[in-house]
Amino acid sequence: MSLNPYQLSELITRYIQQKLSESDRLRLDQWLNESDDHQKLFDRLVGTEKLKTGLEYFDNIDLDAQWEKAKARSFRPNRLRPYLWYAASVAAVLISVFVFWPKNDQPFAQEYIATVDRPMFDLEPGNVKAFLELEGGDIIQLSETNDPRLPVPYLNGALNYMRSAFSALEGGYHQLSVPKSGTYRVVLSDGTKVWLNAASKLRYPASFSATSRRVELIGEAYFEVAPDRSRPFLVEVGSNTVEVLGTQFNINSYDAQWSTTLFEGSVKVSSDHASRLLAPGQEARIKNKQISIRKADLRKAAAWRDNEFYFRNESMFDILSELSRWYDFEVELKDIPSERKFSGSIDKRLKLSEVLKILKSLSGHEFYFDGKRLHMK
Amino acid sequence: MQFNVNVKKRLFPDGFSAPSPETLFRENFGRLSYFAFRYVQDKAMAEDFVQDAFATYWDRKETVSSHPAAIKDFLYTSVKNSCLNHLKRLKVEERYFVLRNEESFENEKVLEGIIEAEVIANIHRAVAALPESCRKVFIMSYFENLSNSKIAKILNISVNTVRCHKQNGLKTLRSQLNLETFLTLMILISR
Repeated sequence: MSLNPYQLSELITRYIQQKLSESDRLRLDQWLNESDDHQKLFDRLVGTEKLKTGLEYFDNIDLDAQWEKAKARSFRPNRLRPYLWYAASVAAVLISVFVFWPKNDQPFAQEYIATVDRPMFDLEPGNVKAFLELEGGDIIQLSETNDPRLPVPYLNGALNYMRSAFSALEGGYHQLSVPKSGTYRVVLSDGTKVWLNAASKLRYPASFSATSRRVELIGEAYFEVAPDRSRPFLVEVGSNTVEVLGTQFNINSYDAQWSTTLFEGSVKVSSDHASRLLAPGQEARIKNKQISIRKADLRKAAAWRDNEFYFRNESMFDILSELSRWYDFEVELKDIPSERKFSGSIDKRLKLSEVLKILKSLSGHEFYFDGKRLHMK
Repeated sequence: MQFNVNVKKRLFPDGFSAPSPETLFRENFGRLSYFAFRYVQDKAMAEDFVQDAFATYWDRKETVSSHPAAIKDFLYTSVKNSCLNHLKRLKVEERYFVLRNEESFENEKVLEGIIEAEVIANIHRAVAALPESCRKVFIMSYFENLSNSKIAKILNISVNTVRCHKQNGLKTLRSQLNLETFLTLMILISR
């Protein structure tokens, strides 16, 4: 099995920090057993000698000076070429200048040139896209179209592993990575359906074994698990596990405190120290290995799949965090007071400028972009 | 949904969106230059090669996939090639010198170099994020040679160490300390 060097480094780093999950441990051991050289490299890296000189090297780097140098070389202000990913939305820039800054009475052309350093733009809502990483390390870019080169077909809006030719031994593990402003669906080899929200990753076997069904999740996903009493379905989130039996549930693990909301069926949530059973309509929250159960807001947990942002008594920070994942921007955190709470629902298919207009009328706050970072006042 | 967050912290450190140029640069400059330094043994040169790699990347950004691993691959390959070309151009007195270096550019060795750079960079980032007191504890305990006479000092540190561990998860420290303390104690007892 081959991991790319970045995945391996992440595993070794987690080993040093003792933050390895069970699957991580397995993967690391497998790599170590592959060759003596791997074991030797590993031993060198976790020993103090290499680490000490290495850390000293990093301490002596003047990152600020280096960045100024790089910036001067590639992003000189008099180059009328803003960052490449803004270039595509030039048309949007021309229109949105008026939407964002209605009070601005500078001549239009001057405004555009003056803001090359601080481009103004609108952002499109997310769409269907992801990356598929195969066992051998290949990475395939996915969209809504079925491509004969895909290892499994894209049918009815989902990547479908049900009728694939992988046997449990051959396919190995696949990883579906959904970037910000993306979303994707997959049907696993047992028929379980998974919806993935933006900024999420799901790692799963191309074909489940005869004895268990285990997947790993980062981010947010909704599962409709195919019933199979002979094989428990487990979702690993960090070092915690959600064990299910033919159910429908949503896991949101973006924050340090993450939650599982159960719609139907039954689910057992386990951290390192404890396990709790959930009933439909309940939500389990896990923070610092403590599990607490409460009544779920089902509409909230289902909203993202229904093309809706739904907020109930939430701070502007939480609202903007969710928006930042769908529209792919970053939020300037220190602007945002956390006392005021808001409720409401907004269509996810709107452009960001329209969403921000709604938030402005809701909250009285003004929003503006500095580069790719949203500020509020 | 309560959420405590450090004002400067990025919400998605593992690359879910195309990072801003500055972020990409700050995250990768160090590791790439460490990687180059291993080959050329010259910090300024290593840094120049990395600057070149970034400049090239931004110039042809649209030809590189936006997947974080693809971007890293591009940058590391770029730096590796600069190092390789440099070493080839060096006036060599011994043929052996050239051959030995060529071997170090083989895939296996390059991958090892990348892993080493990445791991050390990750640890450096983790240590830099520690509060000042914990950082000192970590550095003192992880790197100091523990001898018999320092056992008392170690025992004093361990209380702080435990607190720092709980906060920050740099736990390998504890197992190292325990092992060395244990061994030292064993030596003491057996005398």
